[in-house]
Amino acid sequence: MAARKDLRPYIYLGLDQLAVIIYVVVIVKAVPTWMTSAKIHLWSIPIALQVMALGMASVFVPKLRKRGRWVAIAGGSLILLSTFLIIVRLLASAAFLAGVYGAFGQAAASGALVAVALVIEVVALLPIVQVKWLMSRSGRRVYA
Amino acid sequence: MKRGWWLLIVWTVPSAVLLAVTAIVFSAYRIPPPARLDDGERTRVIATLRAALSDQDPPRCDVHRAADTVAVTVWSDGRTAIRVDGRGADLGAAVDAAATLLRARPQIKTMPRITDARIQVDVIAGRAPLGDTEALMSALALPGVASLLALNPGVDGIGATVDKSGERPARSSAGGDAEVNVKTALVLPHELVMAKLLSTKRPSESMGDFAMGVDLDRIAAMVGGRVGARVDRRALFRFRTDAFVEQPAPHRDLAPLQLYRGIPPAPKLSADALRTAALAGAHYLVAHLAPNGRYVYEHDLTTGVKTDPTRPGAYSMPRHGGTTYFLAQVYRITKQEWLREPIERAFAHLVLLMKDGGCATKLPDGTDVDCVLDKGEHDAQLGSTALVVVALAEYELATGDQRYRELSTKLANWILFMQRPDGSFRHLYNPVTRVADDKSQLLYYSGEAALALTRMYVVTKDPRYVQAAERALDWLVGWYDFFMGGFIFGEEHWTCIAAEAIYPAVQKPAYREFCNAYGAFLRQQQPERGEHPDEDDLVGAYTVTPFVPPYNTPAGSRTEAMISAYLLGVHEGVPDVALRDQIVATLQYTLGQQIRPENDFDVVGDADGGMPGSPLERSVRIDYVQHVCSGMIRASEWPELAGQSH
Repeated sequence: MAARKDLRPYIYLGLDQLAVIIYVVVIVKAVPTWMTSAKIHLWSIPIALQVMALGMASVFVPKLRKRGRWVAIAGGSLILLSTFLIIVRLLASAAFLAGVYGAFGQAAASGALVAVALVIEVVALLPIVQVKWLMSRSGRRVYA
Repeated sequence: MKRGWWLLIVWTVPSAVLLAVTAIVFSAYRIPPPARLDDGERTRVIATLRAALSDQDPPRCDVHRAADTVAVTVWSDGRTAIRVDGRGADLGAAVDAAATLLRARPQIKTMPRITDARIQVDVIAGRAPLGDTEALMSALALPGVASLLALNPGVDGIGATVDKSGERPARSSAGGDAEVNVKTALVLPHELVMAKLLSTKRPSESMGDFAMGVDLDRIAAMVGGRVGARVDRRALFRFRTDAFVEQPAPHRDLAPLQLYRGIPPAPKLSADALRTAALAGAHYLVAHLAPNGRYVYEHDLTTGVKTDPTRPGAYSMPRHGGTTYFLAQVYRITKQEWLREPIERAFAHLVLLMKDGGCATKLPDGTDVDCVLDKGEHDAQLGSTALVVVALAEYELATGDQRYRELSTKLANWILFMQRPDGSFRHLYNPVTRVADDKSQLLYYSGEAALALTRMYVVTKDPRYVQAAERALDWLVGWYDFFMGGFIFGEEHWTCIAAEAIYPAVQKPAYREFCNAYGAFLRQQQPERGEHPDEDDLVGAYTVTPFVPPYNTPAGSRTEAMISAYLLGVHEGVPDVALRDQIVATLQYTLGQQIRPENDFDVVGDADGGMPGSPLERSVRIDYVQHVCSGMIRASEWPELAGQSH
């Protein structure tokens, strides 16, 4: 019996590309910012995700698969790093406000926690699952 | 490396980094609250400075605390007359230095009524950097956090130590020339408040009216003006002070008053204190009522500038009505005769406006109607007429005098005309076309109209009013009958006031349940003591996070509503203790906010009894006084709401 074809690279590729489009639309339309560091930070997410998508797309070109896998892992790792930095910035801001005002307040603390949870869910979940799969035996086999 | 180690690293290192970032940032920007000077120490500091101000040899200050700088402000007629900064090895030496500088000022020989002048001392108790001036924090913090929210308004001051070029001097452990050529300037917390630089930045172009956050560029320019050089923003730092002020001249035997956010401790809550404060509010309004029957709408406490009631400009007819209602309410409760003529003067102005407004007409069924329209207004607003009816009814209740009955009946008829069959109201009416606007809905007006109909029922016993008021209240309360309606509330204070005012003619537990739920919703915005340690002065106010200073008007209007909600419970035999405590906390807070002799040292013009917009917005508008003092006078009749035995 022939082995079933692994559909996961194609699913991940589709999800990556869809997420890139959504992030670009959201950044351009919904979260305009005047702060350069924030702009760089926000744009790092769709760019790294596009890198990851390109790496995943190497599944269509057998001789590039091995290199493509590492490109996808690098892209995913960049997103995770970017997510970590967002959390650092949220916490630094909260700690700053608590230092200046003596307290952060229940509402603001709840808001910050919700923000961290949303960032992890919206930004980090896809690369976490994807990098985990790419590092697994089955990921290596598909991109061999 | 084994897989187990990698797992350990992945699960612990990020958390450790996040924890470290939090701890480092917090400790870098935290200025611990100062250990405040006690009564005796404050008295001795002031004694030295008062002697200098009186051009006498000042006794050496023997308060030896670890503080090297004091800023001394001499207030005269609400304005800063003299400002000196003294520096020394310890607090006593710094006070002595300040006394020497004070005595050298020529103004002390020319200042009129120098004994009435009041000395304020700010002991510089701690410093920290400004977030916006540190590159790492500026880059790391979310947009606006390190700049707009860079300091605790009214508590933090801003200073700069600069060299001749306006730059932050390089640190020199040896001192010498490098330190000789540096200058330090301090802008005190109250000076930032008075300069109106704390809530000026507009974070979003799409919300042009929404201003919050400090303007560090203009503050840097202000500091620069003091050091005589352009100051680089990186040279700025935050500082915190232990501030206190001399007592008013007749009470100099008492210890100087501690200040926090520029305000001394509040009077102790009691029925007498509330009644006195409400009467003081009424005095303020009567003193700000012009001969033409129009109020001085706003009084800027920092400049003394007042709006001119004889000229067209910013004015609000609903607030004219609401303010007059409050005066009538105080008259009903206290029977102070000095209130009657001003109330009638304010009504006379309304009668004049109505003659010119052209709103009077007959409905097809022959009913006479009229409405209130200010000069220059094209549309009659439901809220203006509603609150005038409330005021007229209150006057009739207070005096038994029915001279305005015909007028109030015409106005109430117009309110009935503006009501839809489902109980809701149309809010605008064009007196030229005789057409009511069926689309526009404005804040407060429906609740105000419900209260007007309720009060008309109380004075006339005409069942038309109670039926219409019940329909209005059913609509207002029923509007929330959807899933999310159980979690959010709009500004429903008039609704709850009307719900209690209609009792016992209409007795519906749904009204009480609604108002109790509204109270519980509001309590979420009321911090408890110790919850925000640097902001215990705001306990009892309604706040939105510790970063946005609370306004006093909501404290007043919501207290009016909560008193009604509590009384509904009392009437039905199920008083809500949480509501009572909520009311007591807010009343204690607002007592402290009111302008009175202890805290009017920085007020230009006679504004005792006035209620500023907030601890930071130093202007009094008529409705600030109305709402806060109305809550006070009503609570003064209920011992358990005045903080007395329950």
